[in-house]
This record gives sequence, C-alpha cells and structure tokens, in this order.
Amino acid sequence: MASKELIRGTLKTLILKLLAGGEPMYGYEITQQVKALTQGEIQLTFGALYPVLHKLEADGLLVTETRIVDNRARKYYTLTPSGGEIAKEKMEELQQFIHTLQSFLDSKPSLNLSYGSINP
Amino acid sequence: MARLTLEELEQICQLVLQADLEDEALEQELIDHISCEVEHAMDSGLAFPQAFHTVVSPIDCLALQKVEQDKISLIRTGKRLKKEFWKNLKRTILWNLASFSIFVPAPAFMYGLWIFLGHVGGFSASVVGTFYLIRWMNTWIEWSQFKKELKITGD
Repeated sequence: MASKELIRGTLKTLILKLLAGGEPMYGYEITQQVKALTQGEIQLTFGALYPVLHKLEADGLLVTETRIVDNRARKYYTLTPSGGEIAKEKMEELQQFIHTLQSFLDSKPSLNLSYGSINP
Repeated sequence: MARLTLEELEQICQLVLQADLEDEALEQELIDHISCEVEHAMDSGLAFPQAFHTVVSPIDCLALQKVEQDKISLIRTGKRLKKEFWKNLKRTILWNLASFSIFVPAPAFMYGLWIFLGHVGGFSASVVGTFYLIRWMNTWIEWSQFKKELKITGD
C-alpha cells in the first residue's frame, strides 16, 4: 500500500481526476472509487480527504450540493470550469513527473560526476 | 445495501457531536462518511454493534478535531502568514522611526531631565522595534517555508 507521504503529494490530483468525469461525488464515494481504481493500493482516510476537499472548495475549484439521503445530509462535489482546467494541468504535471521519476529510477548509477576533479 | 435505522444513526451522530466541531457542514459530512463505512461493514455480514465497533474503535474526538484543524490550517495558514508578515514589517518600521525621532533630537534640542527622558523613550521604542523586527523575520521564514511546502505538495 502507498505511503502517506506519497499520497499526500498527489491527493489533490487524484480528487480532481476523479471529479473530472463530470459526475458529482461525495466523500465516501471518492475514497471507494480511489480504492477500487488502484486495486486497494491507495486507501484514503477521512482525515486526509476532507481538509483537501474543503480547501479545493475554498479555492473555487469545486462546488457542492447537499442532498438528504437515508435521513442524513450528503454533500456532493462537482468541478467548476476553472477546476476542470486545473485538473488537466495537474494531471499533465503528474504524468510528466512520473515520467521523469521513471527515467531517474531506470538510470544506472555509473555516471560519476565528481565535482572539482580534473578528468583527462 | 444495508441501511441504518434512526437509532443507529443517532449513535453515530452522538460520536461525532462529542468532538464539538465548530464547522457544522464538516460535522454532517463526517456523520455521513462514518455511516457509509458502518453500512459497508454491515454488508459484509456484520450486525450493527459489531460493524459500529469495527469502524468506530480507531476514531476518537481528537481524530475528528484534527480533521477540522487540518482543514482550517490548509485554508488559513497562507493568508494568516501573509497578513502577519506585512503587519510586523509595518510595526518594525514605525517603532524604529519613532526611536530615531526621539533619540536624535534629544541631545540637540533638549536640556536636563528632557535629555534623559528622550533617551529612555528612544531606547524603549528601539527595544519594541527590535522585538517586531525579530517577529517579522520569524514570519518571513515561516511564510517562505509554507510556500516551499505548497510547491512540494502541489496544494
């Protein structure tokens, strides 16, 4: 399972990507979708999810609608037009980063760059 | 899919209400989230008491309060630091200017006891000015670190 540190850095992008589908989603649904799509590798807790959802809402990237379902209030999140733009940017940025990281991991550590030494 | 009865839902509400959160919307969301988790556990064959225990046992008031604190800090920290940065800078400049304006004319235009009082006043203003200078520098460092962290996490 992915570590908290790795999830933290990509959580915003994960949420935006899910909501980019256009369907309104609520918190628990987001955690279940992420879990299903990553075969259980990424499991979001409510402690990590809700602060970020509220931050995205405060930044104007998400709008919410509350519906009463099974005798309780359920808040659905949808992307705003600017949220859609940011979602695209963030996904491209993450893909580029993964590509860079992959290149780095595939590289051989034989490249010896010893600063200050004079190579003939 | 399992559905909670009103009594069962009430138990979950009580748990969340104990945390005494200020944000009512977040409170409602947490009630719904925990209810969904309990229903999910009931779908796997557990009765409500066992499902409730399984889901709720790792959750306490502190965990719920932390969600609210994290939310507030994510939204407000940047704004707060920016505000403090400018406030402390303004106070640093004003108090140091006040210190100079009292210190400098003291020997030139004042006599006797007034010189002494001018020096005491100037020195006091300079102490306060230094205090705000240190606070401003701390805020500057904190704000720089916060901005750096935002770049790393992409928030």
